[in-house]
Amino acid sequence: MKKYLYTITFVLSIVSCEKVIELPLNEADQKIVIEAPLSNLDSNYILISKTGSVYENSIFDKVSGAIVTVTDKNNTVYTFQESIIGSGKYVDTTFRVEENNIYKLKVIAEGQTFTSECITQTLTPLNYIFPITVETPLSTPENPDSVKLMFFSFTDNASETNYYRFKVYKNGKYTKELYLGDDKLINGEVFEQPFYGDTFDSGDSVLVQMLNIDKANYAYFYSLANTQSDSPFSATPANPVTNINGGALGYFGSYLIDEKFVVVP
Amino acid sequence: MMPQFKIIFSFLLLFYTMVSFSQQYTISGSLTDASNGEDLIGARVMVEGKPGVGALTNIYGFYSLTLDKGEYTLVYQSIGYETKKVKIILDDNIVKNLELEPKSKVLNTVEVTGEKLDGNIRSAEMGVDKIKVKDVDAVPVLFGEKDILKTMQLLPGVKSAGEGNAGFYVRGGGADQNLILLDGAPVYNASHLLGFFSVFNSDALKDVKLYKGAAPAQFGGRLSSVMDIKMKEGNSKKLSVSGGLGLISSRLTVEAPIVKNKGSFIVSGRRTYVDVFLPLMKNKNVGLSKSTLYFYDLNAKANYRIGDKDRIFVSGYFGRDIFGMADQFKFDWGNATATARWNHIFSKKLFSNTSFIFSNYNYKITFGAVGSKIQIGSQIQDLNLKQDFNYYLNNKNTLNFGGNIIHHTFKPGEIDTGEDIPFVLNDISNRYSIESALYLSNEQKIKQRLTLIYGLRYSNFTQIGPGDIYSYNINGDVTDTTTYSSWEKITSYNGLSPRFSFNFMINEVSSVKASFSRTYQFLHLLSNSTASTPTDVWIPSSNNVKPQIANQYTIGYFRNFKDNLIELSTELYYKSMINSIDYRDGAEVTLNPTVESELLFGIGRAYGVEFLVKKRRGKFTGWVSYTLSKTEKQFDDINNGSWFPAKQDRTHDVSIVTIYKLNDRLTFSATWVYYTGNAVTFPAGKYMIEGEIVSYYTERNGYRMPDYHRLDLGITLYNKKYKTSIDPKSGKEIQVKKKFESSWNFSVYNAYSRENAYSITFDENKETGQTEATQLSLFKIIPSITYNFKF
Repeated sequence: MKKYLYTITFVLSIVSCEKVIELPLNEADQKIVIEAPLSNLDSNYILISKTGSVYENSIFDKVSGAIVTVTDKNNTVYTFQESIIGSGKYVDTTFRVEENNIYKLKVIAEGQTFTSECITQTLTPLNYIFPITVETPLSTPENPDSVKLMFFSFTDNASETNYYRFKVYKNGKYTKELYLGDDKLINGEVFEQPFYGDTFDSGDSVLVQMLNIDKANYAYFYSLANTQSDSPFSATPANPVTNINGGALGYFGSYLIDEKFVVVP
Repeated sequence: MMPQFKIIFSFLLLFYTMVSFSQQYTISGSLTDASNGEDLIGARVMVEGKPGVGALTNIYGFYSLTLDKGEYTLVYQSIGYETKKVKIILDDNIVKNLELEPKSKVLNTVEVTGEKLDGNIRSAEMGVDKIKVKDVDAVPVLFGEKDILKTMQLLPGVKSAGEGNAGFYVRGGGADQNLILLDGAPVYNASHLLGFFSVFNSDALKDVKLYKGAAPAQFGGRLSSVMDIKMKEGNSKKLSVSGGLGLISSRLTVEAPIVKNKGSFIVSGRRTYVDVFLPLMKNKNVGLSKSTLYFYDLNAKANYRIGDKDRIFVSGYFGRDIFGMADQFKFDWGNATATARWNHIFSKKLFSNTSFIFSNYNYKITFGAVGSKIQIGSQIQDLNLKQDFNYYLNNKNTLNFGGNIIHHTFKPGEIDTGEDIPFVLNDISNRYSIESALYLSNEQKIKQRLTLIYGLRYSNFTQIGPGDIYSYNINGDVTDTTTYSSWEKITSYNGLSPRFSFNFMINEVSSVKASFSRTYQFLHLLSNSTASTPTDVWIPSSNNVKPQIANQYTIGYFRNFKDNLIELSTELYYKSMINSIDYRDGAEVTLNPTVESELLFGIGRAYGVEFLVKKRRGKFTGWVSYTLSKTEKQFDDINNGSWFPAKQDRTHDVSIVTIYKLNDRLTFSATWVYYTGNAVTFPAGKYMIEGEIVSYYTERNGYRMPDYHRLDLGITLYNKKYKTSIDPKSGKEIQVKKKFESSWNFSVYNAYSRENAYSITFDENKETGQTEATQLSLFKIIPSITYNFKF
């Protein structure tokens, strides 16, 4: 689908032209942005920053001095502290997300209070990941052309409604391709597919993270991908659907992550 | 007189007794074009010395006129044809079939629309635009592809959905609120190549009628408009071949009699060949050279007269777009329609039309290698039985009544996985529904100056099983699932749509009209993007989705000048809509089994004023149209619940169309369009998520794209139509019409190369790190050439 859009875009580009224009915009008041990707892994953190002006440099104000707590279903309260004052990064090294739990986030920053809630179910692990060499559409017998794709496999939990996100790291670097899925069409199945957005070379070390996420986080990242694209084939621009109450942008997630690592032969 | 046509049915005496007390008789029959046997639609039958008394032919060329016993001179008139006068003695019911000769020698005129000269003044119909396909040949178009849908967008109140989009907006309605009928069959996706061309091959079409206001009660099911497209019947006199060679496509049409004057057929095909040139770009892009990207269309129609009272039509359309990359990926989509129709004249006063209609739209996406292929498909299919009657009660009342029943099948997602794939993707379950309607309407002449059309349409929409039906809470979560068995009723909606319009003629050259109509729409197109895409999906009204309803009020003033040479009209409209559909932010609308949970419901309103000045005859013809309008929506969950401009809100919309016929061989044309840019959403700030810059939005559709304007030019050069030869009888030189006619059409799209904005995006400049607004323009100046022939 993506390739198809690329080609259409290419065909259009034969006759089309692009130029940078002057376009005055009405700037909005600054808003608080909370990014809280908590998980069962180490080094959990919460970032708090602010929005900036469209035409200014992309260096954003950090929010310091906020009171940040996460409470689980047993009413254990974890307090996240700003690690370096002025960084806007709040950490609690003891915190780990657990299965079948409910987490409540509370942030008090600049006189405003923001809350959110996120649940976990059971961890669906990756069965395996493996690289496969596939011929590309451009390949001909005279000029063979192939790429290495990373396949992944997992077994969906039939008794739960599941939402997944995958993160691919190539040689230690996150590839920034957003892979999202749900089990509406594959409930209870063994699912196997390559990551179509990334290709690999021999010797690449590849880490794949499978994030078990909740519906709200799926909706956040789905709408993030869908509303921020430049393509005329994407949806009306809008803010991603946040699960934070109180008027902040961003998301609060408690993820169960399984990882697999391979070196491409 | 003409005793062979005297037909009396005993069971029809009932009808006679209703009106025969004043000793009235009826003259009825069909009017056809003498050159090719095509039906003449909307031709006028008048009575000399009796102004205001007359009849019009219906879409099958049939007319019926009831008069007191006596002697009359009837005048048969249709634009572009020689007027015929016939004396009749009306002392019995008469059938009179006539052929009118086209005005062959009067080549200096180009009629912009067909029909009677002052029809705009006399008819009670409002907000109706008619275009005869052959009359708009000269209007310049993109890549020289004649496109009736694009030409329609030059009329007031009809707005193009933008470049690269075949969709159109009528009086603030959405692109899915137009009922597009091809010989009565709905066409669910009217665009090719993602909207750069419409699916209608002009060579196969005869005329197009667009109802913007109160559509006749026989039509229903869409809120905003009805576009009624008729295919040609085919030449019933002789074999005729026509075609064209263009830059991106070629066309060929063959028409011929089946039995001379009794039946005929037409077959017309078109195929684009952009892909033929793709291998030439090998060096530039290897991927493209192995791609296919084309569409084709096939239109076919046949008709046959069985005796004087029966006529059978069969017509069909099949078109497909195909896009592929080697054998790894294929995406194809298209419509198929078929119509079988039986016209029967029960009596001189009762005309019947029975249609059986099939319509299908589907798309298929296939990817992967043999064995591990995955195919995703979606379709909507209709089976429709329709019965219409025209009853010419007397010369003051014409009744239309009938009904129809449609069975809809929706297949939102059919997924096939190859045998080597270890998992199976579940289909999204099908949906079924029955849409039915009954209608009755009457066109009544109250006085010579006052005509009314009033009618009522009752419609029912029932969603039926089998299927699992979900219920949702306010957040869109599934709260309940109910399983229904085959044909079991799930939800049912009823709608009563009254239609009313009146025409008061102030004098012979001016009139005032007003209308009211209510319309219901039970099918909804889910399209969450700016461009129209083949994967946009139709869904039925259901337990979660209520039918959309619109009320429209219009009032208009119509005035003709200089013996109907110049036509001026202005119409004012107000439309309110309820149960309008929009989407939750970032909604997932394709291949989503719970897509109904992504929808939001609100209200809308649209109002505006339209002006049209048209010159209809002479060397110089054309029109100027202007629309001033506003279209707004209100949804609780969008824009904090306040009214916001709809995407199709256009404050100003101007079209100027001019055609100048220099002589028999040379025609110049020019069109200019201008409109206010679409309402769009631009960011009010930005922030960082996962190290990426994300735009922050505060207001839906709070900005405007830059104004759009464009000039197109065209020249059509006809080869000599006549040759000089020696008359074998007299030995004198005479002009003989050539059998082979041809023409060259040169056109320039966007002549002054205006860079109109297709999209505006906000990206970071990689070098400076600064965010910039970047405007993409699709087409700068595009010249094209087309060669057309006919023999």
